[in-house]
Amino acid sequence: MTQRTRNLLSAAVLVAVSVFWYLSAADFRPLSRIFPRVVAAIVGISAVVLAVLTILGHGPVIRLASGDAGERHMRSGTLMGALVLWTALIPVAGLLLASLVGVAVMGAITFRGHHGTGRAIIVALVSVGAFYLLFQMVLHVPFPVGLFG
Amino acid sequence: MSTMLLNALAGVLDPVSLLLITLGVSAGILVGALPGLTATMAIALLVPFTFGMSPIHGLVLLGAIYSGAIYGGSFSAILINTPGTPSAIATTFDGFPMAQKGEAYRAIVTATIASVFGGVVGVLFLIFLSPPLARASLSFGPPEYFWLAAFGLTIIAAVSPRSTLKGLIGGGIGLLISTIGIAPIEGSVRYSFGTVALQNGISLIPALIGFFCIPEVLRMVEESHQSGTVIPYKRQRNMVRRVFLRLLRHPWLMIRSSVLGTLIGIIPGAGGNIAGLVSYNEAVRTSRNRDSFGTGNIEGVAASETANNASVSGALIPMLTLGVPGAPPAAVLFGALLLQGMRPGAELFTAHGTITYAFLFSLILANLAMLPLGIVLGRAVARLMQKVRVQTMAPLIIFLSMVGSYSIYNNVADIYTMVAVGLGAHALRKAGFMPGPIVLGLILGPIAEQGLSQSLLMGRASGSLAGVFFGRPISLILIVLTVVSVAAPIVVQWRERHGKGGTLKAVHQVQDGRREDIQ
Repeated sequence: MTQRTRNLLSAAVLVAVSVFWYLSAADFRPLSRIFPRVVAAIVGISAVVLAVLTILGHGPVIRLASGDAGERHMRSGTLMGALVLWTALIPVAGLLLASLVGVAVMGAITFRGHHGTGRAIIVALVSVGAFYLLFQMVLHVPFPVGLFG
Repeated sequence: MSTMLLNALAGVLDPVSLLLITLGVSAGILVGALPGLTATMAIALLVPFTFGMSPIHGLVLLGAIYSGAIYGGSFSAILINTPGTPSAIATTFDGFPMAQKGEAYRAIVTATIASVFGGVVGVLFLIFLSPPLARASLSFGPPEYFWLAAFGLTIIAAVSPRSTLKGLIGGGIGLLISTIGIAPIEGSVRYSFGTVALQNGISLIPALIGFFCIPEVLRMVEESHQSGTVIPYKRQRNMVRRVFLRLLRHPWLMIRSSVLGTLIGIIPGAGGNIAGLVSYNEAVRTSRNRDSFGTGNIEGVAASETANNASVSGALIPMLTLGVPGAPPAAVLFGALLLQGMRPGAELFTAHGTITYAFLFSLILANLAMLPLGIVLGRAVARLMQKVRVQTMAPLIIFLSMVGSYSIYNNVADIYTMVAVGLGAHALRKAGFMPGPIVLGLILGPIAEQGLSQSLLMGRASGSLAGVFFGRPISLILIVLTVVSVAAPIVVQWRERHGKGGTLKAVHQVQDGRREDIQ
């Protein structure tokens, strides 16, 4: 995605959010709506300025990391997917089990090309196990359990 | 007062505090030395774990990590030409050339002594400036707080490294997020989307963890940080004494860099990186030996490292006195203070004086501890820099982020908040909106809204809205500062476009390898 597209896309999203924020404030009491409306207006106007500057060719330049963009996005995209799945698994499997799976899966992704999956599983067992013991036994902070208790 | 100071001293000199300082500085050095891990991330991850500690121990540990991490950045700057933290950018200019010439140990000792000096001077500023500033904050009413928040947001936009406009919008996004939850006046429930979890607003610590840890982890995996070849070095006898004597010949450089670092640290958003660059720029500009900068000049390393460690305390001054953090790590420390039930301002130096002064004294000890720890741990840190691939730490950092977010209130919803904020912050970062201004907006939002709402009520009651907002002396000063902070970057950009500027001209010339005509 080019910098111009990023700027225009972010400006469009920000204008939409600002309009939503501004209009939703109509339901609030008078003093509760002033501040969100003022801020929404400032953000909205600034986003329009960003869009105009970008269209005129004076938009802010974002420095991107060097290297293959496709591979970069693949790595972070996979990791984000794993993070979302890990989070979604917590209410079902509990924090302990979800974290064991989450750390192992993420480890497999980030260790790729350097260490094997076996190492990721060992790291998951040791690190999650250690923190589970620390919280459960020492700090008496129980990890949330899932549907299976 | 003297009893309070004695109690604070006793609190910081107890064995547990001393152990925490040692552990904190050591851990901070390691975090700072590994490119990809930042001081802010380390503090954000640790805040929830300090919740169960006494306030003194918790703050002592966080302060030690902050100081250690800023100093630790110099190791990778010198040994692999990659700043471990942004604060060490200027250290690479002369630190790495020194290492290439076989003077790596000399550069590290220089960075260590300079960091200790800058750090201690910064803390002295913090100790002597904060109490009167906190007392001055008692004369602030709602309009002053409103303008203070406005100034804080415009100044962070002004010093945003990528774009003033995006910095300003980032601050606005933070303000928008801060309006989620119950309004401070009249109590309307806003933008909760029918969920109970959002009725009390976004939880600050999980949000800070999300802002500062998740995008960093994703970036480190994306950019696949691979440590370069670490230049090996050996310890040499009497080097500390020799470098100390060498730096004694440049007292003005050290004092100027310390003062610059502290003052720049005070400015919200202008952290150690700007402090280091400006101080380096001044060192080049005022040196008789300008040609040697960029080729391994000890003064370059000293200027950068003195200033960036002085900026640590500088960033804490507005945070402790006015509730306006000067840098992202200070923003996280702000969250830690709130978690311990302490609000920035005059009360911090009266009702909570023992804790606050113990924290300040501990920063002096943390800075002094950097000297032996930096020298002793240096080679081990260098070996770890060679061996550790930071990407492999990504799953553990995310796990700690989750556990940390959950453990504050034993609330699973805080994990969801942290993950959602983290993914959102990553997307915003991709679009050029950095977490710093957004977090400042999030912190300043309630101050600004309360100030605005109460000022409006005062205006209605007095019949003069303009008088309330524009007729008070402190407000007028803050308005002028706000206007200047908005106008300054525009003027600077205009001057640079017309070839008249270049605030860091000397730095650019060193970077470009051109060292002629440095004025």
